[in-house]
Amino acid sequence: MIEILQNYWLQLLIGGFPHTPLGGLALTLILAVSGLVLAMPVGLLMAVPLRSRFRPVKALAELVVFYIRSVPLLLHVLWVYFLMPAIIGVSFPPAITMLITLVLFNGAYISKIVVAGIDALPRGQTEAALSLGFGRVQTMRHIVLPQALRNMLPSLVSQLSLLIKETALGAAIGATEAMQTFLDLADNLPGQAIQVYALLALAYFALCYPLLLVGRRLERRGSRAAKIATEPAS
Amino acid sequence: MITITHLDKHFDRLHVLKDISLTVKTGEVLVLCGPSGSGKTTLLRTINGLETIDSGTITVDGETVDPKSRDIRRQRQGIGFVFQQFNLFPHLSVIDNITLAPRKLKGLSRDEAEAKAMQLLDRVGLRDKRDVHTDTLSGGQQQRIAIARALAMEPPVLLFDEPTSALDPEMVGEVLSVIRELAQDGMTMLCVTHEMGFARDVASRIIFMADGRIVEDTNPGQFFSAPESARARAFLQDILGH
Repeated sequence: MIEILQNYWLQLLIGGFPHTPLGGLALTLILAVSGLVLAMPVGLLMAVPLRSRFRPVKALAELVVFYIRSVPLLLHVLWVYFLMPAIIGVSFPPAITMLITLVLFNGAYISKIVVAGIDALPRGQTEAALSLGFGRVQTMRHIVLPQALRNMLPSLVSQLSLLIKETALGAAIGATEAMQTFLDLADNLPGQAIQVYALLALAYFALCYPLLLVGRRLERRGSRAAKIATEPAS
Repeated sequence: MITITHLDKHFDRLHVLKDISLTVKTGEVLVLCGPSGSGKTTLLRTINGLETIDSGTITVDGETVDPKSRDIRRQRQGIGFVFQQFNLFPHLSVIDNITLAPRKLKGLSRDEAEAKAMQLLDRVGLRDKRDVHTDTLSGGQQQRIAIARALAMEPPVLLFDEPTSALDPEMVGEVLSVIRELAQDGMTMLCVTHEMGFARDVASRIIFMADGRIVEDTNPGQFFSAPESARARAFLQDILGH
């Protein structure tokens, strides 16, 4: 394995760059980080119609989110890859296609986490804010969301660690991220597939493990906070 | 100050408020009492628009209260509300609980808002709790902070929804004495409570409700010595008998 690393480390790290678009682990990292950064606001935005008091809006949002969550991610990737150019006449490079898909897909899951986090707050919080004279948006911003976000951090972290691994599906549409780069390498090194895939597994592990550690800490802190919250106040 | 005329409200098929009419003058302290399910909390919540109404009108300071109108936010700033469950904001410190609304809604600077909040903390006897988190406070302390939070908007009227019902018995006194002082300072208040001793001492009027109606509207002396209705007599016997 050391030998593979010594000979191919640059290729594994950046793919065929600069002769081809940036690839390898670097692309995976970029996809993961930009996916993480974008999926969060998109999830928050998607949560807005889900909580709409206007029924048709809510129903449509429910349907869209339900659809996104009930179809395999791989199919979404293919849809975006083949359908988007057909519908809007613009085709994106595979890496961008992958990013769009990841953000929408994870946004849908995150929107559900957000809605659950908001609904889990006692109604009295909203009522207290309204009684002071806050409007709905201000109540959401100053009172509800800060508490809801804190409560849903553990679920968010686990969703985001899924997103990191989902970047591997880029291989299906020719995005030369880590998965694709390692698959190519395994083809070029007959008889060493096990070593190549072991390296790949280690690489994903190194990306996800810190996030999982963070998640575990948050969960422990969360369960302590929940305990305080459920103890009788007086 | 507050005028309610022919107010009706249903929760689905349940008729919870039936043809309620009530006038509250500035400086009056009304205690609303009655058996549970009589509609007193719901009535209180319609006054600041936390509950919608089916028919009738509510005016505060001559302005109609309508939860669906744009004016409701400004109107609520002038109607303090204290909840049975305190509903402090657990993600904020005590001082931030009190200063958030004056800063965001009245445009006070942090310094101005905090100076005023400290006066209020003095008033409720919790000056030293300024920076603690609300979940470390006892129920009685939390309710006193909730009163300070409501007062921070300087509302001309305060509504109390069973402010001591969620408290351990030994903490009821400290909260009632804060409310008592407010009454002595001339604050207009409506208070739903089962604390009859408090009602007798502090109320200028007792509103006795049963089955969604106002059954008696009288002064405490009259109410406690010679209640007119059989419902009120039965209620007082139940609540004072043991």
